[in-house]
Amino acid sequence: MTAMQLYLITAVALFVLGLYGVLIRPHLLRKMTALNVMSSGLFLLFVAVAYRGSAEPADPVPHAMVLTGIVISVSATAFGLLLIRRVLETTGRAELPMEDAGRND
Amino acid sequence: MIEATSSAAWLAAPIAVPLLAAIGVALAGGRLRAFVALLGAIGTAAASIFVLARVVAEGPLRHRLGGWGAPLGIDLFADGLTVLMLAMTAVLGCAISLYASGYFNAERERCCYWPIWFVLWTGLNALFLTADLFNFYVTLEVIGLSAVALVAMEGGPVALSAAVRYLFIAMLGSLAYMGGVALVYAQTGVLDLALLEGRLGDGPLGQAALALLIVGLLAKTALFPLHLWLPPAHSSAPAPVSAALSALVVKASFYILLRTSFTAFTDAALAAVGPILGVLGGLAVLWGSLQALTQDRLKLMIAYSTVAQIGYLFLLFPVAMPGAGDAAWQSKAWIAGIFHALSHAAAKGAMFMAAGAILHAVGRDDKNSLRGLGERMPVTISALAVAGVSIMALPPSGGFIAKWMLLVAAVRTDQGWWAPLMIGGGLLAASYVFRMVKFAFMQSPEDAPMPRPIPRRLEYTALALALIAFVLGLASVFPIAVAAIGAPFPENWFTEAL
Amino acid sequence: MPATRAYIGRVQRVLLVLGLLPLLATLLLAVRSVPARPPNLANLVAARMHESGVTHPLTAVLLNFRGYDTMLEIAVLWLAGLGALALAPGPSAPRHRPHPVLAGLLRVLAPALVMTAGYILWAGGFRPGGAFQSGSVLGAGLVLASLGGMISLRPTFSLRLGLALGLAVFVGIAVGSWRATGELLHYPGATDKFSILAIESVAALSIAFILLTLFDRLTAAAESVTKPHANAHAATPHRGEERS
Repeated sequence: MTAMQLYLITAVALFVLGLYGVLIRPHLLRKMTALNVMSSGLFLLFVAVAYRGSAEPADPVPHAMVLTGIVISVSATAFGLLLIRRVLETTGRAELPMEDAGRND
Repeated sequence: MIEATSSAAWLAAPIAVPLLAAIGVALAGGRLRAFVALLGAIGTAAASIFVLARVVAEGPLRHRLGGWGAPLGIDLFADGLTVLMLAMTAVLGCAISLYASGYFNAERERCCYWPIWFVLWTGLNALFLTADLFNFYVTLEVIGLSAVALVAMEGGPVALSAAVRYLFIAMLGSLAYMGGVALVYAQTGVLDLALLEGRLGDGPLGQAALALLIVGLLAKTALFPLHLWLPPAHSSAPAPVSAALSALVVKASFYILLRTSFTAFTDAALAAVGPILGVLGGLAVLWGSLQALTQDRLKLMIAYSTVAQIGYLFLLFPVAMPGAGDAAWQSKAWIAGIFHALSHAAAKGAMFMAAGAILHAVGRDDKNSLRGLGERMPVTISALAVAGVSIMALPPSGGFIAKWMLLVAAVRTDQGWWAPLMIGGGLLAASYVFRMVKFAFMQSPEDAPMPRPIPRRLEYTALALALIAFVLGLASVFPIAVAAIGAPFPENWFTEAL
Repeated sequence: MPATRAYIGRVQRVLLVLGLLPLLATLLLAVRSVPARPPNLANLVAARMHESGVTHPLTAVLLNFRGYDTMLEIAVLWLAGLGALALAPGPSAPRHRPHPVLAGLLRVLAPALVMTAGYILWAGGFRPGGAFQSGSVLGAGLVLASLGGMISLRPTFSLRLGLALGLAVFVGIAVGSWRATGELLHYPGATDKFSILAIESVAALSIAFILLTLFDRLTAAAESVTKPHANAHAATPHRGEERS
């Protein structure tokens, strides 16, 4: 197995593990962390794809995409954390409501 | 690949104008804000219409940002489908901006509605105008994050929970989509849509890429069974936001799917994916309609109606894919889906605006509060009813034309089994619309308080949009002709009479 | 995701795992068939990098070839800042009491942070670095200052200007370049190095402010008034004090 394949498999594993975490964990903060694990897996996928052998420099386009992805991920995570905090403040719990979210009042 | 006939830099205008407006309105204070906002709305709409006019005159156009050109750089691209989406966004954007200026009075406004709304508009236009697969991802994030922020702006616990749910689904969808892009790049080394044609192939890498792309986009378009986030988000947001979400935001990811499937997918992939999307669409129609029938609150009914109407959009895939039957009708199905998106945008925008007006006036939107409003708020209820006509797909509304075209196309391509579904969906739509609206024509109880006076523009923008949806059917020739520009079907297929 | 219970039943866990296995399998199969040397754009980038005004391929892609992506990405970051201001208008008094240790640390650290940030910004032209990295360093410094009670954030005009300026300059240069060369983001003639530096430096400042805003709002004390339609004046017309 080459180095690239190892990274690719790790990336896929992280992606799926993160997805499992998002779906399984009821606590919003844990969901957010799992989402970040998924993103890390994805970024690793991009970086692995950029590998062009040890002799040549890596392909910069996937690296640029990863940088963009990281910034967007930071923005969304930061805003998401703030949202979670507000949910906690207004509902008292850091979990999404159990009942069908459509019905209220 | 389409060569640019001119430098066509003004393709970027519908993106630059709202972005500058967002910055402008963020820096402006107090009274100046609404003025800058309305100016920005008009400017953006003008830019979009200008692009529409040029594309109609000159055909599909491409602009190479930075002068580099794909695959090194990112290109802007506009054909018939693009400008129709731009026009839809322009009309809805102006209406929503006007409506919002009346909806948020000083008492209700929190910081930053206007800048975020204009960033959303920028994201939408940027999405429709781009030709690069990764740029789609960035624009999807612009749209998604601004949409979530706008939902959360309502501030109450229900809205905040709905916003968190929306955020998680949006991010999952984006991650799946980005995964697809990574695999596409691994397979082909290019990111430009036009260049991708034929390069994806049918191997495991190509298939996995497509699967990820599709799943991500389906989550964002809220196709059954990934629709659970939509009703709470669209119903608990402030009314102008709900209108933007149902009318425009869900169409954005649908647009990406439509584009990529007819450009980058192989015929085999399309043939495999089409029926699945059709089945899910059918389930969405049934499930959404049935849920809408059981709702007691107007905004929730409208939100579930969106779930159902989105299902109709996906019915175009099995009919438009290469397959059996009269091939010329594939193009009709494609157009029907686009037309449905346009008329649904107008109709749904109108309905949410009307619901917002009712909320403003009466304070609640449950069906019993609607009693007597037919008399006391005639403009609003008319808007609701006229928009309902398009949702129900009665002639001569846009909704009718869209569904009729789709129905005939389905029959002509030997897939007539979709017909009972469409007709049934129309009946269900009639049921849930009528079930809610009938209360407006009932007598209100003796002790019911008079509705508060509301700004005129709330009612009249709703009515204007409803009339547009209604009349769209009569003026269908023009949108259909525009859609033909650059369409992935031979030109002469479009000239057959309906 | 759809509502989950506090305790996820064993059956549901198993079902979820079973459902995810096909996904895992599909993805593993897919990555197995990634060619050893995937087709890519690296050669194209290398061939045209001399036209980009910088000598680092990543910076060339980010700020020149695919600069449009970067512009939108800065818009996303700005959006997060706006969203933070919208969700948590916050009290106007400083929340953290002045902390002597942090204040002392910062007196030593601040010049180093600023110089490091400046160097990283400049170095982006020829080695890894650039606006985002530089902005993060500056942002960290601002966050430390906020934690030490030395800065308090108020949604004044100067803050809003600081948040938006990075994006504004980017869009301004994009449109300006259109006037000059007929194509957006096509930096005219020999100004590409200068344009990129201008964009990056202002962006770094804005990024720092946005990060500070995000952190500040996130750690704001819980508000006693949480009425959904509470009167929230976001803009005070006069400039507020930002340093104590």
